[in-house]
Amino acid sequence: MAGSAQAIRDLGGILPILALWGAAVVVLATAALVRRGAGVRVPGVLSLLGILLAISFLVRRPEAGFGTPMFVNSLLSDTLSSSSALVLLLSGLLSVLVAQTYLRRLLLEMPEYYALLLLSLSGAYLMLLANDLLVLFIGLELMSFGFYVLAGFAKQDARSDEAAVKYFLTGAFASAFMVFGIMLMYGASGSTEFTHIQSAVARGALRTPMGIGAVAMLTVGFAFKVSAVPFHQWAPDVYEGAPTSATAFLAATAKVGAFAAMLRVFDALAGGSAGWLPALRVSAIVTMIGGNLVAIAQTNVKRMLGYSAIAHAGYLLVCVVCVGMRYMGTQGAQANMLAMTATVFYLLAYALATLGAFGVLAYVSTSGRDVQTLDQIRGLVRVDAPAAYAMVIFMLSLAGIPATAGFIGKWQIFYSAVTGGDITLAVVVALTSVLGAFFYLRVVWYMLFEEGPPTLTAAAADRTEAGVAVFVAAFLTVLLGIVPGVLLGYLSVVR
Amino acid sequence: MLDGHLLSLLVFTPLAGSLLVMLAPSRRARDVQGQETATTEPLTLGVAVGVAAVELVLAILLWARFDCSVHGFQMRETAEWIPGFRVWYDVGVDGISLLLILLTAFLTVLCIAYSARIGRRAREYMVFLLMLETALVGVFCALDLVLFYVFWELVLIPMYFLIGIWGHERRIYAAVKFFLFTFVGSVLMLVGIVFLFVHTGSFSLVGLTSPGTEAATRLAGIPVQQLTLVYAAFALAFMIKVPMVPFHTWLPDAHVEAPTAGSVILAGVLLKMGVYGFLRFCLPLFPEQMARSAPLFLVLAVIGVVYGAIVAAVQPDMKKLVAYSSVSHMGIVMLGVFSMNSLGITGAVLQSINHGVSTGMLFFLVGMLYDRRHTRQIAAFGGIRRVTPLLGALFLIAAFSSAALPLTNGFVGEYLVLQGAYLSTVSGPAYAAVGALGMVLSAVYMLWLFQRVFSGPVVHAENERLRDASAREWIVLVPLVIMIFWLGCYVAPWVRPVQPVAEAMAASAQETARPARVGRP
Repeated sequence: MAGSAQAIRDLGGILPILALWGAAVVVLATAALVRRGAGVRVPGVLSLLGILLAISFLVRRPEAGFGTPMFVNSLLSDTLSSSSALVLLLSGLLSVLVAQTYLRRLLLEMPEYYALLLLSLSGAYLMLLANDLLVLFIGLELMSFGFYVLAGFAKQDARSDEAAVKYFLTGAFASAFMVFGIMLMYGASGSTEFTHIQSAVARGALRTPMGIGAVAMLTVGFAFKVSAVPFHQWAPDVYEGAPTSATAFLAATAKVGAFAAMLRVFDALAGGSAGWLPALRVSAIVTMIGGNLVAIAQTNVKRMLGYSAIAHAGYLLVCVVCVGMRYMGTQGAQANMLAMTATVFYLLAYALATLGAFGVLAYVSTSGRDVQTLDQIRGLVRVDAPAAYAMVIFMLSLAGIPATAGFIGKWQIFYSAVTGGDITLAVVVALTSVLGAFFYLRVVWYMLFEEGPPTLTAAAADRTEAGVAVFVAAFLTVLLGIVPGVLLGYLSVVR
Repeated sequence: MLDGHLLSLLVFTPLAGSLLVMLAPSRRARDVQGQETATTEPLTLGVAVGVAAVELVLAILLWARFDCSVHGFQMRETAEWIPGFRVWYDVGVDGISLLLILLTAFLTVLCIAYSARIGRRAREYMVFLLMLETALVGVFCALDLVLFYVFWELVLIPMYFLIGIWGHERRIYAAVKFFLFTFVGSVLMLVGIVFLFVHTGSFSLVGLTSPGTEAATRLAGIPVQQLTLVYAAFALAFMIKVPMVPFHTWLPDAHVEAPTAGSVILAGVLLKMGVYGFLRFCLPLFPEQMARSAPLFLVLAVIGVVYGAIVAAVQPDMKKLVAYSSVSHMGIVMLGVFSMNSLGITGAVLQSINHGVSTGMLFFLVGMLYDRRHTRQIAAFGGIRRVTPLLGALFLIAAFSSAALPLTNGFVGEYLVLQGAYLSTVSGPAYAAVGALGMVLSAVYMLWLFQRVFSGPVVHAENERLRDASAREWIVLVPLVIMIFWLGCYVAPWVRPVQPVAEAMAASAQETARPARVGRP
């Protein structure tokens, strides 16, 4: 009896995932029943309801402490998982809204899109809950498979196909590294469960060649997934080629899933001699510099945001480095906690701004006029001022300017890095964000400052959903920038 | 309401006003291309002027309620802002902030009145001007380091738009350059702020600088080398903003390309943010580092004075000339700051206000000439005093003020600075002498400018029928003329709030500078 009560309690812990799966199944079922084609809103609405249901299951916050293990320790629900799950589901919600408008206007509407989106989302959710490397891997694969298909969803568009193939091949490659790393870790520590790995690490399991190999492989696998230099080349191509709504979705949710999982893994690996720390630190620095530098040269907004995604991965890697300082004295322990919260907050700020930016592109796109380049948004303010100013808010947030969520996020990263005693990293974050400011400002000046007739013309068409998504993202970005306290309590990670 | 929250009202009234302007009903007149036609709606203008006027009244009210006899912060308001991170909404004013807030409110009213005929996208223009005012007032009364940084950065955004949308030919280049230059300095300052917090546990300026508090004790415990680096981060941000040579190159571009009101606010108020930063943060937080770096800054300041003046003299473009004259005048202000005695600091603050008034007026006048001829080239004018005698007379007053003629405001400020620099143990007579050379040079370029533009026969036929000052232009210029003579002839009410602060600052700076940080409890 005790076992079944435990099972019921465990199922209660994954209710959000069950809601997402349920919604995915219902969407597929209705796809078979209702008329297909343009103007059918049922699948999108059902997905929205599913995600809202998942959010309603989620919003009770677990107690501080070491969390509630579920399913024989393979899942763990704690403040990190609950806070990052909220970010994830919020991104999912906005992604569905953006997709509804974008797919309808580009004549790509098919119910399967939403089913895949929901499954991907549930995969990412599983990654947040994972307390075991194998579960983590299953979540990762579930998430990624959806992404591969979504990236190639515009079948008629060769670039979309290219994006899908590239993403799939590099993704498979990364997964291979990951599995190999998991295998070696099992060899080095005798388990794939994080708590066991952690105690094995404390006993010095990482000092063996097998342990070193395991960490190296896992690091490479994660580096691929979060698009850290030098494993980043796929990102710009996929961001540019995939349909805008799919890019928006994967940009936001893949980061949330991958970084939340990365925090867990590297938190567990922090003990003993954290020999991976210097390597990750170098990778963070190179990623920040590389992503920002190359983004400067881009004229395609989607591609530019791809490089900007790399740059932001660099900032988030700074947090992972700080997480790795867990056992380096009281300062390190403090940096570890700060960096967890910083990561979650930064992920939220980044997800809102990125989804919003892609949302604006989707909002102004129509069939045969998929808006992607700087030239296409020239003079946008004279055609659609609200959309242009929303884009301004997102760009300022990505650049980390005050009164936006991006600033509060960046400030927390500084705080974590300086607390951990790594001023150099903080200075690199500071200087590279100046580079970043340049290309974010360029989007602003194309929309607002450029003279001459605007490239776009006002199109009267139904685009309510993307409008709502953009408005919500812009509103939250400013709200969190001015009064971060409204969500900071829920988002902060405590042990 | 008014008693407890006067400062918050001052900070947020323009912001609320900008929302009001944004939401005010409009009948958008559009031509075929979707461009708005060139008339500012009376409602938009009315709301904007009204809000700015209310703000000025509030600022004067603040002045009336200000107690000049004490040197601490007054009208403090505190509330927790970001829970868990010990960031507070903490505002308060002393004499220095008071004067700068008055200057901001004063110039903003004039800028909005002047921009009544901005035409293109007038509504956005007013929104940005009012947002800028909120950010500027916020900078001058924030006492929490993070709050200060937030307002400091917020200043950039509306100014970026003002230059980028309503500027002249090279406006995009100038806007981006302006933004990035300031941003480089300020992000490093943010790292410095966070560093201070991690080591002291406080973002509060008052907490960090009142002797005996835990934060102040911990601040004193930070190793000197690290503290020097933090000081460098702060100083770099402020130097770029002032700007001091060699970080001045953004200034001519931004000033020349900005629309008239933008140039006025840039020169009048934004540059003072740097001066304010040195006085408000560097002097109390890092007195020892500041004293030790003074020779470097003094040299840069006097280089700025002379270099700015010489470059100004040879400019063929009126606006660029005035822009470079700012580099020169701000050099004098920095000379006062780094004299680190009460005379010098008082002079620096007064000269900041004076420069805001006189350079603001010059930019308005250049803008008015530009409106008439659509060129800023000195060579395109000549002898127009015959056609526009009133403008000529007003220009001469502004030029005299800029050249620090006695009875005008410029004289009082520069005299105080030079006397301060002469008597200071930190600087000394040599620096004062070079500073005085700057005064001479400013007479050269200003009077030469006046001569080439206004004196002699009318050279160009198209200048024969220029309009003289219109009613709108009178409204803008007369208050400035009044200020020039008020500050020049009866400066006591303006010195009174500053003096106690300056004396306290100078005293504490000297106390810590002499025995190497022993005197600090």
